[in-house]
This record gives sequence, C-alpha cells and structure tokens, in this order.
Amino acid sequence: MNIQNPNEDQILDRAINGDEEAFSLLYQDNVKKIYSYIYYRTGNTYEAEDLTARVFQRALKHITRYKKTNVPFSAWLYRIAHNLVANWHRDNQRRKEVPIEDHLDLGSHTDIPDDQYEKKQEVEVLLRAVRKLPSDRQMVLILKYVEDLSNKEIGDIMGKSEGAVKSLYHRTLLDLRDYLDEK
Amino acid sequence: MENKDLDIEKKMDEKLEKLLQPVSPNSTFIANLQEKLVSRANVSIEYPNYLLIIIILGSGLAVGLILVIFINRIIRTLTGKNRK
Repeated sequence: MNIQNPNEDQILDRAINGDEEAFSLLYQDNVKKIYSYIYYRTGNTYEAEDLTARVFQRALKHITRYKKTNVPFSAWLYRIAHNLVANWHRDNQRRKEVPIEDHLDLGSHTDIPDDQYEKKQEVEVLLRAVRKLPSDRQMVLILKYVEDLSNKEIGDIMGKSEGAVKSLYHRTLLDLRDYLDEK
Repeated sequence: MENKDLDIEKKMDEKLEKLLQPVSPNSTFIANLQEKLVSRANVSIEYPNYLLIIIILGSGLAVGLILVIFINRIIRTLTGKNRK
C-alpha cells in the first residue's frame, strides 16, 4: 500500500465532493484487497462478495463525511470491512468451512497432482487454525501475508503503533503454532 | 527459550508466506458491483413530506373539534328550548 500520492489525493478530494467517477476509481483500486481480506476472514466466496458489496455501499454513503489524514484511504475501507466481518461472525454462529477449491482454483481431487493436493490440505489446516485466533490477530496475519503490508501500514489500519503490531504479530505466530500442535 | 520462540516464529513465517496468497474476486462481480454503486448513486430517494402530513392531520383534528363543539351547541340549544 502506498502513502497517498498527489493523484490519489485529488481523486479522493473529488470523491469526497460527491464525484461518482472518482469514487469508481477508488473502488477499482481497492476492491481486490478488500475482497481478499473478507474472503480469508469468512471462508467463502458468497459471503466475501456480499460483504465486499456492503463495504463499498457503506463507503459511498459516508464518503462525503470522510476526514483526510496521513493514513491511506484503504485503511478506512479495511476498518469498515473489519467491523462488518465482526458483525457477520456475531450473527452467524454456524460458520461454513473454507472452500479451498475456490481459493486455489483447483479441480477435483482426482485430477490434481499430489503436491497440489497436499498444499491444499496444508492451507485448509492453516486457515482453520487462523480462524481460531481473535479477530485482531487474524487481521494482522491477513494484512501481513496476503496483502504484503509492513507493520507500520498495518498499524495505520488498526490504529496501533508499529511496535504494538510487531508484538501482536509475534504472539500471534506463537499462538498459531500452539493451535497447529493441538491438531 | 527465546531461541526456540525465534525458531518457531521463523518456521511459521515461512509457512504463512508460502501458503497465504491474495484471492481475486470474479471479474463479473467487480463489474456488476461497480455498476450497482454508480447507478445507486443516481437514484434519488423521495422521502414523504412530513410537513404536509402534519398539516393535513392537524387540519382534520381542528375541523373535527369545531364540528363536535358546533353539534354540542346545537344539541344544547335544542334541549334548552325543549325544557322551556
């Protein structure tokens, strides 16, 4: 994630003033990131699409009240996504398992090579363990590995200092190891 | 103990790096949502005119009250005449 460049800044200004075309550009820049984050948090494509749509509908509704800071615009979207996912988890006690086939774009078990099948199984076990973690720790892992963000960028999104993110990340890895050992 | 933690951290880091990859949404979904967002922005929602509703209800109540008073007076006048 880049710190807002002048061009992005102008687009954001236009979007805040109600320019739909500018909002469309912000949407195009961020939709894949937000979808990916929600997909890893919910575990299925249907919910990921539904919640992604809700994130951008909410963003569009409130964009005129958006207050510009040094934090990238995507941080605001991630926070909306984080809150919606939290509500979704609260409302859905019975959560569906991750359709890994969608994630890895693999065929059926019979027509995929053994190494890919093993990787699929490994991802499945890992994601089950990740979802046992508290939501802020899941967020750290997804932003760090899926979105490839630095601790500073993750801190901007989560409203924490770089040091706090580093410490949270360290504890998360140890907890994750424990969950995997339990398995 | 610290070395053990660092070793675990390193192994987990490598594992997560290898297994967690970005997931792309369906391109049709992206296009449809964009269209939906823009078209939604163009829809103007007309809220009911609450002032008009209040005026109509208020007028109705006032007319009703006047009618009740008027009918009451007529009845009183008629019954008063009958008593006399």
